[in-house]
Amino acid sequence: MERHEVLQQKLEHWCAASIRAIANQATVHYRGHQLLIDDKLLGIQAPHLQLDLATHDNTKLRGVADGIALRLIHSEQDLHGRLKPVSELQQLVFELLEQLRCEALAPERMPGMRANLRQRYLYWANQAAASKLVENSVCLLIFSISIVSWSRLQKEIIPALIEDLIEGTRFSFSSNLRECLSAMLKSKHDQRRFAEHALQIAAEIELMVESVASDEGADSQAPQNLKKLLNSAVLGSQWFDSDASKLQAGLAEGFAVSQVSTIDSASSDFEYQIYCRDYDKVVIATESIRPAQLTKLRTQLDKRLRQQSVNVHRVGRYLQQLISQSKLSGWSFGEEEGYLDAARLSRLLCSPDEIRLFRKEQSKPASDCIVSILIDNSGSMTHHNEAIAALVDTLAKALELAQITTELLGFTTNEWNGGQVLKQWVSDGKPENPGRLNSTCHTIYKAAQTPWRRARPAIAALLKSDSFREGVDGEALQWAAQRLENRPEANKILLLISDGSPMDSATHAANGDRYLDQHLCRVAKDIERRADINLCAIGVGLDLSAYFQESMSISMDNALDNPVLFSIAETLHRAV
Amino acid sequence: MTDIQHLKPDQMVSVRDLFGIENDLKVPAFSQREEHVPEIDSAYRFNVDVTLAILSGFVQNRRVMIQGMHGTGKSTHIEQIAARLNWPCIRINLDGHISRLDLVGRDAVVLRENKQVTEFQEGLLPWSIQRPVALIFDELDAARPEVMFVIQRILEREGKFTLLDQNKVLDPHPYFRLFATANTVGLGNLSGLYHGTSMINQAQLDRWNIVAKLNYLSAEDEANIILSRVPSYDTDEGRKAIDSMVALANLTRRGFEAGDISTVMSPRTVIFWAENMQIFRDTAAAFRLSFLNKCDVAEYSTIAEYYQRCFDQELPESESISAWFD
Repeated sequence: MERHEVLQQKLEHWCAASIRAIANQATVHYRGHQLLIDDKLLGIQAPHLQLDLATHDNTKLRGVADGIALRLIHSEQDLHGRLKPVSELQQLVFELLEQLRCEALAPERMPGMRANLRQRYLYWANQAAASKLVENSVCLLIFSISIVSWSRLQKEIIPALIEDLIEGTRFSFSSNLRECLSAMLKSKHDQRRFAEHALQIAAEIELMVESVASDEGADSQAPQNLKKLLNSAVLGSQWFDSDASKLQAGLAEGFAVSQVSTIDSASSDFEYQIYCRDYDKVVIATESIRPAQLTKLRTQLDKRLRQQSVNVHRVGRYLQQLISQSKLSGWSFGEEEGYLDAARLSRLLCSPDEIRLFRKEQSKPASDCIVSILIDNSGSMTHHNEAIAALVDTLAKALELAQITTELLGFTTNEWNGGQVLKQWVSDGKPENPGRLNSTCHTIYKAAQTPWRRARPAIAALLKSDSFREGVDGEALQWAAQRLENRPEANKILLLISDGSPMDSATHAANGDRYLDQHLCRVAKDIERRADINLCAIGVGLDLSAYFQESMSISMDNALDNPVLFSIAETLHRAV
Repeated sequence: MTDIQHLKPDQMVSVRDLFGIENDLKVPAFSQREEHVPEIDSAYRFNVDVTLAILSGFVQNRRVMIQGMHGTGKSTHIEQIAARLNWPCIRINLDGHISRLDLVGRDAVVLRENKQVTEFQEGLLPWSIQRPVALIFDELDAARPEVMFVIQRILEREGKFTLLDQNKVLDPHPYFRLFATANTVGLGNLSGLYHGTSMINQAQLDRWNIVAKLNYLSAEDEANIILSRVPSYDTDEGRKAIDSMVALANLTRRGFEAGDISTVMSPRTVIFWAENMQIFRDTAAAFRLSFLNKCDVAEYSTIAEYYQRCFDQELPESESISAWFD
């Protein structure tokens, strides 16, 4: 599952890169499994491009990416929007025809792209043909028009199995519809003219649907049913039934909704409140654990660290390479060129062949940088705490080798399910919109001024997970950012390591499920906008790109190795 | 060197005939070839705008600077025009170590009647300025800006050149021409591609009458150039392969603009690739040797994706596929 997330993120990265290159649109990127252009959702809804997230298959994702790239090249979004019909059914047909038109314009010189598109389309068609949806006459009609247009635009032969399935429907096409189809095929290079015919086809299809509906005599229920069916056809998620895919789709949908709402509207009317701050606390990790136990934990952590195959010095050098800048510092003497060094002129007199008489200003790498690592101490992280502690310890050591200051912070809540604050709220008579209903617990494992060597026992405190409860990510980010503000370093990076979205059951019960999510989105966006702090995130087996512009996911299934740390270093570098 | 001091262009030729450009312009040309005239590359394709800019330099005595990314054939473009006009042409490659003495001339010890005497030896600059020569400064932005003030005066039309070392003032030959090429427009290494370039002094840049840009060619032009260099590909299959190669080169260029990869394929690389394909008989192997090995390992996967699009074939470097099957 975790490995799948990591792979998925990589695939999306490559696909987005391909779209950027093919369509020449530098702003296309994935966030939370959604393709965005200029930070807006791409409104491409053709059914065969809707991806089920559980099928993390490269070739299919490639087909989707290529389809989208062609659409961006060959279709004017504005014109398409203006010509769009009113009825939802017609919209769907119009949309899918326009997409098929663009795909038909795939250049000859890119045979791989054509193969990807073909593979993707046939995969979708086979899935659809095998599903229950085609038993419904309306869906079968839309499916047939898609298949017929595709085969004629792409000059492809319809697979026999699908041919049999749609034969009846195809036979029922009116002569008018057939004429429109032929006319449409001839104008595939001209969006406007193509659209005229596509609109006629969409209207014809609607007529056919109406006649089918009246034949079946289910008039009263038809519109609602139709809408449901259309939705499923549009989303495409209905084609698949496995649990994993539903979970994934749900997750993605949640992300998308929270993200879009924060980007567009909610930021204005959403207001984050804290019901009570009295019980919030900031603890220093070493103070809450007995020294003897800390020593034991550190031994345990050291044992784990010995098992991993990480060359910390190499990671340190890599980090230095990426993050440090060259600064002039001192002179280098005895050079063969540069400024004349007066002190060496006497040598010239003694031995006229001596040419190392010059001096040059030396430049050395210097990294005026601090990385603050904020670790999610929520209950779910307990499974990973040894791996996370090892990762953080190695990272802190490597960063210190690269002369980068580090700060290690953690966050959780003081109690499960609201605790004291919830009780207080209940005794106050449960006023509406209470806001955050728990007390936060922020932990300092290693302050910026403490060197790594002295913080070793404190880092081991990450292993003591009995204090790991829930998590209010947004406030923790604010707290960490505030601590960073006071640091003198020029480059400030805030790195969040988390395995899930913010969670506090009492707060969610009283304010709605997305309350903390929305706050996190907003805080992340605020920090990303700031010039002084750079934000990035590591998702532990989870894609956090819905919240953060710069994020990567890592899998904790395997032991830590160099490539993982290298990619973390690259993420830090991108954030700067 | 036979002296060419007295040569003059003695005929007018039509641009249409010579360069295949739709234009009625007639330009002066020499009727006889001379040792400094470059060889004609009959396969060379002229870019219309840049050709006109360079020709205006030849006809109207304008100082023309051509800026373009590497491997777009900036210097070759000037050379090929000179070759067709039979105009003597000299290329000077500038670098950070070229000094004033190198350009202007220096006192050197020579033997005269078996005695060592010091004698002033003219550099290429005073030599060319007195002859009908098209002088090309390659990599103008690699030269040290303070050194380039040497040419400040001759950048002006009819600008005389003072030889301080000899107390002489040189009049430029009426058919002396000056061109320059550079990777940047003298604003420094903004893209990170051109390490070692410096900023050009704006007063200097200002004196160039015409600054033409030669960036990448259209896909058809590029494919034709490559075909002319590797004629054995002039079959249906070969043409297809070359079209795909050019498409891939274009993807790398756009990927570079979007910041996904940090190396671009120049037309020169595509030519190398086509040539290497003849040696190795394997598109992917030749691609690896001519381009992929120049790239950062972290970018292999992205480039492998581009390659898949254009050739419908996986590169073994593609991480996506290896991740998939294990």
